Amino acid sequence: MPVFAGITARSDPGDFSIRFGLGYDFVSQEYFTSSSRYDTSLTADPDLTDVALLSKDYLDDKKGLVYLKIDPKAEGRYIFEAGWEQTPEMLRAVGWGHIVLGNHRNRLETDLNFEIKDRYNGEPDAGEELSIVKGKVRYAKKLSETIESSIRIYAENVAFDSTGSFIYDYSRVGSEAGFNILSRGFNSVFFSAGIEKRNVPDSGLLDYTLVRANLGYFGLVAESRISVDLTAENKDFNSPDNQNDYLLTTLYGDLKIPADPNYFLKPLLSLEYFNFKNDDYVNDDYVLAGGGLLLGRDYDRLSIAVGPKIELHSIATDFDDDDDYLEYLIFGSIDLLYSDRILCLFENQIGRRGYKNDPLYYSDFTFDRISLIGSFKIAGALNFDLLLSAEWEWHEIEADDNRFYLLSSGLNYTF
Amino acid sequence: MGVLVCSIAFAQGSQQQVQNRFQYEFERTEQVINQAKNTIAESNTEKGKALLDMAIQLQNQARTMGQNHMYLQGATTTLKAREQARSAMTVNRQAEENENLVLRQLERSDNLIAQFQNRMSADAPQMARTLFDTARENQRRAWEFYRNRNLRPALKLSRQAEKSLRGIAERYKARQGDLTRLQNQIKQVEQKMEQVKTMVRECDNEEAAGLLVKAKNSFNECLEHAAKGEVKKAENQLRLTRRLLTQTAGLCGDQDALQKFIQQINQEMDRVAEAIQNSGDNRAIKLMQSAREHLREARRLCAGGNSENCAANIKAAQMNLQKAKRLAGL
Repeated sequence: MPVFAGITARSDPGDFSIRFGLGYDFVSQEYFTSSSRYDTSLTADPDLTDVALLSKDYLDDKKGLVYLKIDPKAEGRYIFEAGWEQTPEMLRAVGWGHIVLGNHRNRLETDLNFEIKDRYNGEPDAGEELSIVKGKVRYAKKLSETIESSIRIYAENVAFDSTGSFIYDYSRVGSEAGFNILSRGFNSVFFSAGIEKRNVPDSGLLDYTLVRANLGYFGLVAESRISVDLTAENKDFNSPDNQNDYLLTTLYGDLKIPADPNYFLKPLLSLEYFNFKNDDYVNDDYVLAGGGLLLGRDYDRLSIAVGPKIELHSIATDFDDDDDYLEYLIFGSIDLLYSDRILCLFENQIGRRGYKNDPLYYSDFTFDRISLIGSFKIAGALNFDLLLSAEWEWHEIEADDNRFYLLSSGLNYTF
Repeated sequence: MGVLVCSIAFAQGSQQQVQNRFQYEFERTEQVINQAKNTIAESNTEKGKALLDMAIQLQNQARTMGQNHMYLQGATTTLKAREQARSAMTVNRQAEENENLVLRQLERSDNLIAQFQNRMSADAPQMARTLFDTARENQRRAWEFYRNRNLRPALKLSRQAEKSLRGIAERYKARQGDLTRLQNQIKQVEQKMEQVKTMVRECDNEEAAGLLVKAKNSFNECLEHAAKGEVKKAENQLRLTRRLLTQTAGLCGDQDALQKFIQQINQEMDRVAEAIQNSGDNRAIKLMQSAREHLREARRLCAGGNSENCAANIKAAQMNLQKAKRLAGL
């Protein structure tokens, strides 16, 4: 069960601000499994048939923090922030800078981030101590009143003090160019294409070259607001026989159709197609398709929506017991925006996933997924933020039951 | 079934053949386990790791059996180990813990953060700023999970960050759109109010004057709601204002009065036309032409029974004519 909790205080978010506070971060996941769950013939060693509790504490930190931030005139053109977080065992220093030069016609944006995490009390595990440096430079130029072009170059280096079999240093370098065509009424068509290379010094097989192109539209069609995003991505690992290489195509779209001054319909569509170049039994091509139709109503400060959604997973495998599934659910959401005092986005999904071919490694289950994101101005400068995600899965085979919780909360005082 | 067939085949062969076969199967299993290690290194799924550990233990048992010349049992065990390694890789394929999908989610949230960073202007609501900061911190944590190959928490946290950002964008963008639409509607009603005011002055109808007062009050209420950001209430009030103005225009818009008005303006135009033409002021001449066009349109609309737009065109003609006269020094 993951929990983030923190109380922070900070000064006015003007030219210079100080944020300090205490917090508690805790993240863990647990579920059960057993060797006999997968193969009852495994009797070579009786110990191996024991039920195993798989539990992992990802994070359990009580921490203090202090952040200094400079943002002249709160314009967001020159921002520098440096922070220090400390737990009884770990310390973390973070910093980032964001500089914007030029105007809305010719703009150069530079971002630089660094992070150092170190264990000063006790023996570090692999992956605990690390340093990260990453940067990005983006140049955007308005070619006309309606067309903006941009180019972006970025790099990232992650170095762990000690690596493990699953944890490795890596660096990424990439570039991307794009166009954004704007029209009146905030409609926009955007296109971008880019290339990225990853280098893993300890394992050349994990190096890859990635090429990606993206085309999208956001705006109005008739009276309806539409958002469509099409992406194609080709990843080429430095491994023999095209092992793990793939072409991924995704399409996401949603439409908000006003059905009445207050009511709206919202059809949703998502499609992901993974096409692996080497169809070994590890990597099978698959399609993940989703759709839904929500009916909603807008009030002055409130928007509610409810409707069915489905998700279909279809995998091209040689095994009869593949994990093709159909998931169907009822979705409900409540969005509340009360002036500048309350913002609350709540979602709940209750449904069932059924595996078509009775796979060995999965079992049908019923689920409930809740998401809550909120920001509340309690009084004057006192603000409370909340982020919650919870999932429950009740499987036909109890050993597969799973629960997942995520909570992030903070109390901010601005003065 | 495959294991059973192999066992029988081993049992039927000579000791040397069984040893060779054991060696062959053992090495193949080693290859599969190594492949599974690489695959799981990418995703680090908990179930996948547990199953791979079992496979490795079984393979170790098979090795011990081979060292003790128990080739038949060793071969059976190494086949089980291979099957277990395959299980590990199959479990690894689970969508939520697929490294590619998690990385794409992280990048999607990163892109959103970059877009937001540029839009976070000084007048952005404090609440949006706070939520943005929270989303950014959660995204940083999500990357940390990813780098430590804890993919499920990385995916969930990054999705929440994305939801926060999209939620802010959706609500504030929709609100911005609502406010822009409302402003446009208010401007239109303001123009209409001016037209109807002129009509009421000309027609001298008490009932129309009373309705106009109601319309003005309704419009003021609309402006109050708009100032508080209460879009729906403001729009409802605007609808009421429009209805009242239409009723008012209807009372003053009898055809006879409008025709009389058109005639008056037409006479005035004829009277000053020559003087304006002789003034040599191009702008005045153009305005005069425009006034005539509006008057023509007014005649057409009045003939079609469209009193409201007829009145609007009469007003436009009148204003153009006055301006033209001013420019011509009349």
